[in-house]
Amino acid sequence: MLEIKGLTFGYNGRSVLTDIGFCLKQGEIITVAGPNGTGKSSLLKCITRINDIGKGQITIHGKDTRTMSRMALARHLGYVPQSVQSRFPMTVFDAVLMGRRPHMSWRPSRRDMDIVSEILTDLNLVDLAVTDFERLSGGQKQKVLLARALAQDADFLVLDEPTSSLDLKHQIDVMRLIRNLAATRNVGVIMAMHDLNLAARFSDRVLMLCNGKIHGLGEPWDVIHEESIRDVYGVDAMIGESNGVRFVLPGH
Amino acid sequence: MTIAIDEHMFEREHVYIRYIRLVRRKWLISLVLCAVLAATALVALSTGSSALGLADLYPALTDSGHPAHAIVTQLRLPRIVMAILVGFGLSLAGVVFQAILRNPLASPYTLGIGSSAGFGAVLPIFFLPAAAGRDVWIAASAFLFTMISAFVVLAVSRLRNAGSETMILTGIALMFLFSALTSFFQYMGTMEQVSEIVFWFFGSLSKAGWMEIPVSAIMILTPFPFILRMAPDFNLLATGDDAAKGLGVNVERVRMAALILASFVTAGAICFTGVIGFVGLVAPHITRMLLGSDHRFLLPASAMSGAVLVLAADTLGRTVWAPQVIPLGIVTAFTGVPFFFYLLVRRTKETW
Repeated sequence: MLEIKGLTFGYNGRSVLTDIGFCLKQGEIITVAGPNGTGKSSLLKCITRINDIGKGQITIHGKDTRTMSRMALARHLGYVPQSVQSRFPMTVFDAVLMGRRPHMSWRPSRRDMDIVSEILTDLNLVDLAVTDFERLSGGQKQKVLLARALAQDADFLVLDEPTSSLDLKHQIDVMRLIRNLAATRNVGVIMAMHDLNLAARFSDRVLMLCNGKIHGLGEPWDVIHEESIRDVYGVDAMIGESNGVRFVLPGH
Repeated sequence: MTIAIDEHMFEREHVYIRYIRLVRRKWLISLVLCAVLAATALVALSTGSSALGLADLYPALTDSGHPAHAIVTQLRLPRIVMAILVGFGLSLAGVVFQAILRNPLASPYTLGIGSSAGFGAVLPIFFLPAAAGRDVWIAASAFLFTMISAFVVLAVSRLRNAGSETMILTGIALMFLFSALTSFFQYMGTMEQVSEIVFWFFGSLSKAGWMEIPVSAIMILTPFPFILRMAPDFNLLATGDDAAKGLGVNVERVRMAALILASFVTAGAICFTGVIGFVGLVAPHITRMLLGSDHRFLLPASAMSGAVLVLAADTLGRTVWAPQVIPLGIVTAFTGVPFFFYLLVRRTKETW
């Protein structure tokens, strides 16, 4: 269980997040939605301790993250930042092997390499194993980064806009993969995302942020409705339904 | 069903084998680099104004009655050892600076170390009489100023989160400051002083003797195991600070420690020989093209290829135009650039 209590964060005297509190269970997917600059990335970075939290507490399995070393935290928490660009050539296998870093010493063991091979096989990345990471398409890169986070063997994944630069097909591919991983590996996922339809379709709960405060948290369609979209984004929207599937049409 | 499982296992094994093959190739290339270095050293030892056959080499080294004994043991051997140390150190430091600054264009001199060491050398040249003991002061002062600039970069970037951009900007500012100071002294100096300063900036191994080698060796080789230990963290830094932090790397601490160690190595390499450019930038790139950028292999292999480059360049520099000796910094550029271009154009493989 990942628990956040009374989290407040700010920098340069500007408050970014105020009094955030919620729980993430293993196997559950929570999507954080909200306008640009509302603190989605900041929240994720607080959870991974890239940002030092001001007030409040974040615990994993009851243990305060501030008392853990970075390495120990990385064994519990996998993180995929918004954009990753490698300045130096590295193969896909090497990129995924990096995920084993919190578990290995200087030299990867046979087991580390077996885990990486296994994940690459599971995610259908076998043919790309010794390809240079920078030569991959956006969708492939995102899959490799997910593979890397999986290699961390963590109980929770923190994903910052995993679909932001992907085309329609790859968005669905990656989201299905995340859904699948949460279910089969019992991983708790918290991710930031802009697309409310994707969020509603693939997550168990949606957390709507507005000016650094929680505007709503609950089952997707309890949180996403005409009123909340107008409040949070200042945009009129229509919630429609077709063949029993609901969708949101913003700007209507 | 069983067939599907077998296929899965087969694929998994296939991925592993392909990767292991790549790793073996890296070991092989590293060994070849060691062999190339040994061969270059032998050639360097036997060529010069009194050329020796390979068969003569052993007696010339061990038998004090041999006519070439003094030349080989007192002139060539120390020069060769120093060339290897300098190349090893500059290339190693180059890889480290490129890794912690996440910039393939970084070199040991990016953070202003070249100019600050140069200014350190200028002071004794300007203020002390040209006597035998002055070279020691030049080396000590160059070393001191290298470390001063490293600590200024460290202090300034500490104030602002130890990001790579802050480090580079601080380094560039320091570079301009020390270049201006050096120019000022050149402007004020006599002809002899100016030519000595210029000579120092060219870089030369002519002053390398058995007295200087232990000092340089300690400064260059002691940090090596500590740097090598950080290799996996350097790998993670390549994909960004946040990504590295998420994988458990204490980014600020790694960057600070690596900066201090690499500056120390650079200081050890240049304090007796002057600024030898290009090696620290290009030897790491050549090595990266040969075996990729896994720092566990890249660090030692780059150090080796840097040693080969400097040794080959120095040997060429003292033989092609004998008895004239072409300054080392000029020859490294002349020999390294064409080879670098060749690799750059020929590189077609997917993994460099």
